[in-house]
Amino acid sequence: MVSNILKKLLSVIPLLLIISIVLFILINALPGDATMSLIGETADEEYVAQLREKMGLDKPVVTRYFSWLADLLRGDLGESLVSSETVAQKIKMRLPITLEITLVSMLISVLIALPLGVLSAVKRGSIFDTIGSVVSMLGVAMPSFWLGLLLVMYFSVQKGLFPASGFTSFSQNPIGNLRCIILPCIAIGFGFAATVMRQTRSSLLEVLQQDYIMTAQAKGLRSSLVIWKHAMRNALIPVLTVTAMQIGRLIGGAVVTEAVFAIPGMGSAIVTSILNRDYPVAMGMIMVVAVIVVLINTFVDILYILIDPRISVAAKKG
Amino acid sequence: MSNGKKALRKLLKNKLAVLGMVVLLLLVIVAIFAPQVSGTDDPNAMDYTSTFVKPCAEHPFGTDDLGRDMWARVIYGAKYTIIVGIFTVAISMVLGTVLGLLSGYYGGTIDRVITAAMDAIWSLPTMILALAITAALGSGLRNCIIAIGICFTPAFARVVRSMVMTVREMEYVQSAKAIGLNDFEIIVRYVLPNVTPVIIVQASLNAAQAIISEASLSYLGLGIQPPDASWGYLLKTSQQYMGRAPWLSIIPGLMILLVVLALNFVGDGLRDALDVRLKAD
Repeated sequence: MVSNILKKLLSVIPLLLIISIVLFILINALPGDATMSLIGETADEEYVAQLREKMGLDKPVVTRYFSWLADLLRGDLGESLVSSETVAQKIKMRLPITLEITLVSMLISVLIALPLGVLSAVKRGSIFDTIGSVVSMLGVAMPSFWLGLLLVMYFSVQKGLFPASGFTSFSQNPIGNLRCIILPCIAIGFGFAATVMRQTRSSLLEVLQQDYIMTAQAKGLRSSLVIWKHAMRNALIPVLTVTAMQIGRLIGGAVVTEAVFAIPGMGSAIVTSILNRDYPVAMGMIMVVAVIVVLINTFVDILYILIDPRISVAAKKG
Repeated sequence: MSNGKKALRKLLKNKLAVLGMVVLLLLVIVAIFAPQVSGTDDPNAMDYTSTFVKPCAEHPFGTDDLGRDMWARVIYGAKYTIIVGIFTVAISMVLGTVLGLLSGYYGGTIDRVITAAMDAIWSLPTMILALAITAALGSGLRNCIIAIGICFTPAFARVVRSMVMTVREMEYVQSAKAIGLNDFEIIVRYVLPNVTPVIIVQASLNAAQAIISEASLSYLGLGIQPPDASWGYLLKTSQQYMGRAPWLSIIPGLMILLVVLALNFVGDGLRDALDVRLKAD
């Protein structure tokens, strides 16, 4: 078990290195280089050369990659080309917002998915099962940003219940914060709920067919007790894994949905910086999100090994 | 091709899959005959005398802030949805199949390098990677298609690789090797037909995801550029008039939902009919 965990931990390093190389290649694949976007294409050559030297663009690609990587490891992600902030400062302000939204979305999706999944497994073919399958079909097919638009249209524009855009931080005003993030979190969480619900339903159905559940029922235990205590304990393991392994998808959904609600998180910052051709900010932020997603996935894998030692790293891969 | 016939019969018995196919067929017809269906050659024609007209007989989907007929714009948008679906899948299917065949068939270092690269791409959320690639290539529909195509490449590479690894050990492949067929012949004649069902199912499900991704990128202003408008872009421009003209935000989204649902139904139907289990699921 320990060796499995160590293997998992060590596999993170090459993975992150490859991601960093991919992102670095992308930055360098830019037509023209960053100087062009900074000063325009009409600037005189001497100035361009000066700027290229200052930005290190005159050095060979491999050298630049390693100095970029070294800076990255020290937490120095460079400076924005547009504003005077460093990329690290920007991330420090925006990352907590995106993480908060991701967590609350996850909470909402689990709150929708678990009861619905259990009901549709226990009462197969009932109205709950039908509702469940409609939710899961819509959840997968509906762009989360569009659901966000619909929610704003109804709850903000027509009913005036929640703000249509903008953000109040939790430390300033917890209630105001909740009012700002509830609609985006529902929009992001709904699609995710579909996945969690499907998993809950299928894994509970599988567990309910096992012998020990029949034994428990034969003993005359109440069916609610059998389901919640005996069956759910085992059915939840795959549900938890699926939930945790899809955090990356949630963060991805948050990126687009933040834009709908003008929430100043990582997503809207990445989009704005791409539109402004502010590449250090865009790539720095994307790299940070990538690192977070990879670390969370690894953490979940390790947790999985701890919960169920029978699972080997090799067997689960893929 | 009795297997193919059997699969087709099974597919046609699946009501949702048939419904999905009908919707997709309608989409293609509407896109091809857009001028006839919409009754105009120019979906971008403005008319300042009739802005924000509610859906009515003359304008079934209403008009927007510039008096453009939404019916025409939505119908012309169908073309972009089809283009996105076909080309993103073509890119990821060709790239992914070739990479998956190489790594599954040869194993060893080739396999390790390809698998590592695919794992790296797969570990990133689709939207994040698509944004990174769009940042590098610049915005626009073509770049957006390339970006999404790259994002979905590992999905194909992985299923093809695992299928190839199973097929490679089959006796008939071993005997083909023994009678001296070269690798290319073996792959084309014996391996590819075996992975085709997996690829078909993966393609239909990925087309659905690709359409959502394009809508998202275009909504963010990084996809298709005005005056052309895909459904995602229509949603972007609609947002500021939400209170006045809610239909502008509702209709393009419904269209996306409809097409994505149709593709998912067909994909699920194909999966059952061809009896394919997807590893990447």
